[in-house]
Amino acid sequence: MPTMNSKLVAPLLGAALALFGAAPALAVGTRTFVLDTLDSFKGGELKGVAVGSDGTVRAGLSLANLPIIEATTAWDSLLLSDGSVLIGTGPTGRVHRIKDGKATLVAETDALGVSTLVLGFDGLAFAGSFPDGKIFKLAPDTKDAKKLEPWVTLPETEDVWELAYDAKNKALYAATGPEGRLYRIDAAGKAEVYFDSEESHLVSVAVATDGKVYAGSSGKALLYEITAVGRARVVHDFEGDDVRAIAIAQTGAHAGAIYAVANDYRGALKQLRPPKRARMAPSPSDDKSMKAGHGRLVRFGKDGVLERLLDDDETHFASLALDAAGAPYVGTGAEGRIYTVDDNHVTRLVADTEERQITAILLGEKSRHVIGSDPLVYHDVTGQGGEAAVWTSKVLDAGLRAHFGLLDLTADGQLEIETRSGNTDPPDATWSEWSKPLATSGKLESPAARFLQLRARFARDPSAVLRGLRVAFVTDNARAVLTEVAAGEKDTDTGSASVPASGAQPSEPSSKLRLQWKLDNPDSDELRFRLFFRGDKSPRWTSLLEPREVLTKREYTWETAGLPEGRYRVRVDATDELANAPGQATQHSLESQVVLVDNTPPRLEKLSLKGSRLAGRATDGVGPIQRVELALVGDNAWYPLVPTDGVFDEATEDFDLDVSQVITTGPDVFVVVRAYDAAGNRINATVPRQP
Amino acid sequence: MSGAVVAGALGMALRAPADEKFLKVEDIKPGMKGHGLTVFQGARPERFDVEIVGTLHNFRPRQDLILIKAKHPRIDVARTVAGMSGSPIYIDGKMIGAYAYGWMFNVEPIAGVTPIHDMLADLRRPLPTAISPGAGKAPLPGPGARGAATQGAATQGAATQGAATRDARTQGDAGEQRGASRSPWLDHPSRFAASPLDYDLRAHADQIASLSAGTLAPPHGTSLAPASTDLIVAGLGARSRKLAAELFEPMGMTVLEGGGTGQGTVAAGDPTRFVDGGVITVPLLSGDVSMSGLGTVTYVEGDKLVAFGHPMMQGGASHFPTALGTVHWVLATQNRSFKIGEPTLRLGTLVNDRQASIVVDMSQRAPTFPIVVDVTGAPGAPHTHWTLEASNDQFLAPGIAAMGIGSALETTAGERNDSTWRATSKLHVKGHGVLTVEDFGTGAQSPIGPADFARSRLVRALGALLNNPWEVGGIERIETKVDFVMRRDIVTLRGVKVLDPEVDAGETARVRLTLASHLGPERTELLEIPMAKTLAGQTVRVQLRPAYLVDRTVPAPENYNDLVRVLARMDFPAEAIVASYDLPNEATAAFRGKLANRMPPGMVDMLRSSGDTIAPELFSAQRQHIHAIRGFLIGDDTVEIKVRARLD
Repeated sequence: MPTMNSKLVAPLLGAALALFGAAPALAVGTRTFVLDTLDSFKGGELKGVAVGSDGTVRAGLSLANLPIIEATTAWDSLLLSDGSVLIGTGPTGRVHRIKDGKATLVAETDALGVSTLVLGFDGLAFAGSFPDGKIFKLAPDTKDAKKLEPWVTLPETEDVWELAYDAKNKALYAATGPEGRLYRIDAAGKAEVYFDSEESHLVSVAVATDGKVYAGSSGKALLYEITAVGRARVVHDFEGDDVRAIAIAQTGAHAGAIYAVANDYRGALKQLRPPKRARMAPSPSDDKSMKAGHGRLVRFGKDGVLERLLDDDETHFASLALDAAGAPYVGTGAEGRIYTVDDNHVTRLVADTEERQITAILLGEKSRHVIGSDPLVYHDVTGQGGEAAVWTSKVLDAGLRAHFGLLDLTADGQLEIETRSGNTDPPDATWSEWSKPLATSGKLESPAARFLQLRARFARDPSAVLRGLRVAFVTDNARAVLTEVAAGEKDTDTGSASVPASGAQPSEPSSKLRLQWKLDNPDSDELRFRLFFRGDKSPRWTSLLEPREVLTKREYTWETAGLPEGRYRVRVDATDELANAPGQATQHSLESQVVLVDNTPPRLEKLSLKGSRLAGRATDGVGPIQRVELALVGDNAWYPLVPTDGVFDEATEDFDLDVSQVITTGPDVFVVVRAYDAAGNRINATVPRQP
Repeated sequence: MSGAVVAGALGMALRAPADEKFLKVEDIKPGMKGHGLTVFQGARPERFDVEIVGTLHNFRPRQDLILIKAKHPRIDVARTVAGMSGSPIYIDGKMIGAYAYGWMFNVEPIAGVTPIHDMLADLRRPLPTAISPGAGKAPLPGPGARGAATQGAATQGAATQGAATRDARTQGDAGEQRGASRSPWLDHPSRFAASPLDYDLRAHADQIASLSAGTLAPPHGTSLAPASTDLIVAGLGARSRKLAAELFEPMGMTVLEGGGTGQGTVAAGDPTRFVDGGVITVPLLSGDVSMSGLGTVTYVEGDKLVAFGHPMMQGGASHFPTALGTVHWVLATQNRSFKIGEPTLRLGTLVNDRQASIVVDMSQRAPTFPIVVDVTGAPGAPHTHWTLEASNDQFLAPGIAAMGIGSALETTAGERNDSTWRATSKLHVKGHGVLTVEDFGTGAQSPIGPADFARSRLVRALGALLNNPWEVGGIERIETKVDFVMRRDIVTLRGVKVLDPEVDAGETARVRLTLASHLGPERTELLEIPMAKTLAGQTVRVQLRPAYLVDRTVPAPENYNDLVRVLARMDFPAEAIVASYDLPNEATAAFRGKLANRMPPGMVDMLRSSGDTIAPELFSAQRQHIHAIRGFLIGDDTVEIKVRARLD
């Protein structure tokens, strides 16, 4: 999903003038914070609200928090008939039970994780684990923590990633690794290989009502349909690494459809180091830098047609669930968020938790919960909207102290909008209190400050929809200050202090000089520039622009062909008069260094080539001479010459030197001498050889 | 310590009647005459005359040294006698201290006496409760317990390798961590000061020697002999004796041949308890081979006593076994004379080893464990079954095991011919089952001996267990069976031919190894390497290396139970080759003693933690395939195998 940013809209000049009368002194043009998209709405804090890709905020899932500090990851959860919830956890392979708002440890294993839970034979709960390929049967009345003995240990299997129970055919399916096998286990615990894939891991499995089994792999991210022992076809080959989760709709308009989450982890494991020799108790783990991947939610309709429902470039998905109406929900592998998407592909962010991942979701009719991992927090879904449903924007930055004007609210139903302001990001105790709630558009009462935050409460009307917020503001008018004015060819690096390479070719001559300037404009208001020049020794400035010409760019090409050769200076005036009322505009000026205007080439005089001795003089009207070189006629190789005084630094340079190493012997030798001035103008002259 | 300070410091501690039995340093004047008690032969103390020469003040930090001249027919010949350390010296019937120091190459029987008040301070110094069980008189807890095994190194044609396995009898982590109060013993100065998984006997000896050297060395310029305890050895082979000297002498014990293994009984009429001036021995190793410190009891008070007048290893709280002893002769030498003797009846425990004395508690019995060695394959060898009793100490136990087992092998099967031995040792770890450790060695005309065992997996395992940072466990028993053959089982990897340069994913690739045996023909072995299904379409580089050079991926132990598990798994069998290759896009996770070898990226992401640094360690995944090869393999190679995608 794209990165969220609130829109900072620069108004037209006319709008600025229209609002001038109400603006406080020293104000620049009015600008506006606009929040009306998913990205702009989701950047703040979401409590019990849902932010949609259609640019709306609604009351969403209200979550209660129950941290389980004994574990880090919830691998799976399971609702029991008595309303309690089992959670398979890691990294120490335990099962916790949530009942009456309390979490208790009910079972321990030798595993690193209890990776999957399912209701199976006789309504009992079964748990799969890794890394020993064990499946456990949990007693229905488990109360006290006890060490579980394995019910089944799958052969040549380390990891049981997911279990699925086929109640109709009384079979338990286990998606496993690292041999990529799907096992079918009967009530007696007898396991047979139902499907042996070419992948190393099958990480997801689901059973359709028609008895077909769907399994997702890790490796090539294949979704298989298995219809009998050893009989399978690839439903889809996803781009990425795995088919992390599969869900089959039992109800709703898409009953029978297959939902699948496919992830691309972007080579996250490449950063891992090779195994080390065993050490004593390991030092604190430093494996925190694994980046989030890319997640995708798709649906295969009953006709088998694939429909992409949701793509997220910022995170992969760690969980998938369908609610009672058959709507899909995914939990993200980063940022701990839950999204849902409707048939119109409107994506809605329904919960944003403090955890890194959402690894288990259950939104059924009897029980609704989501579980965040890293750290592990069980969230009971307490309802929709209500007192706790609050959307809080991210901190909006005006850049300078701002005076806030009208808050324009677009909403359905009754919302309460509050604001606060301050000069720190994030907010601290120096911020103002939240303002009195606004039910409709109105004057924003928070005091002038650089930062602003807004929040919307859905307590009065759970069905209310926030569609947009616009806040007008004007900042203090800070003067723009020019920091550098430079003249040169295009792409001149005016900030470089490096010395040109020795012997470098002179630049091509041009009568057009590119003027560029840099400035610091704290309030970002629009600026107008005026340009002037004068001779280096002259006190009189002449405008480079036409009287009515408005220059707002930070560069200008100056045609110097009509100017006498010589040294000049350029001045830039910067003013914010375009964004401020007369009398309130500010200005700053800065002159350039000396600018050389030289459009004529140098002259070559007194050239002679006697034997192997080449002599002559190069003279320029403005100077200095930059380079003199020679070549044999007909030869493209140019050899630089050294002036008599050793340095090219004056308008006239003599040279007299032995060039025997360059020219060939014989009477019919001609050499070409070429001289450049500092502006790149050049002249060629042919010199015959004299005996 | 000056006399005035001694009096002041001890005035509160000593009871009035006891004070009457001792003479303060400041009351001792040159020329005063008295007597001493020591055993010259047998077990009964005899008197010898002494005359005060003077007092060296602050000889040790806050400890004076009284100089005496001793006179006795044997002392006149022997002059300074090492085994007399601890002999009580009396002036006017009051004890002034213990005969403790002498000069090397002394031509006069001048000796230094450690003041008794400094020794009494040691006697009454409280011990950590874990070291001193108190009224219950329960046996002292032994240090550590669980075996680690690491491979040794091949040097100059000789090689030692091993492997470790563990039976299923283990305890749960939770139970192990709960209720375990940290024992001071876990922080004892004689602990190996590095990771137990890197345990090295010689490095451990160096650490202890560096700690004790300063306190055992004589003050600069005194020309006194360092405070040392004679370690009387018996039944020890020559190379084991050499190893003992290398290990123990830097820490203040002089290894002397001249003892016996003792008979465990006391001669009729001899003392059955320790007495002032009587013989005291510290049998670090007993049985068919023995090593005992030997000295003299200074002062007995109830069940406790002080002896030696100087430290043994300055190890502080200790738990070495002690025993009564008998002296066969005082052997006079030009350098430094000593007593030839041996332990008799096991009695008490050395509980404190300090600057002025060793402290023994007769009511306690120090923990020891038996080592049983059986040697096969040495036809006609007179002794193939050895029984040893080792002190259960963090340093001494591994060292003693190396010397004891090494000596048994050296004696039974020492041959200056090509030889190969294979040892299987079972470490019975209290509460944690049996850890089986395999060692292997082969040599060129180099007889088997203790040096082989000093770097063996057995000794490393023992050292790791006894020096673990979590728990004071215990070794119940070590059983070592050694099979010995008269040939050099070295195999050189001459070359490798890939028979299946391209294979289908999931199938095995065959590689033919050409091996050259020592003094034997070349032979070939077929190595079948399973190629993971996920490698389809890739060219895989397979490394072939001797198993003893390959680290097995095991989780870092985080408690004692983990350690036992890790020790059983951290090494491949010594006689094998390992073929290994990387598994891209899979990871290995290790945590709390568990290992997930091949985790896919999505699951790795769920396993890791960004907020909890006590989290699984993650590594890139490798697949290792082991293939047994008889003998010590030298050489390695790398081959490439192309893995095809299956089309069926």
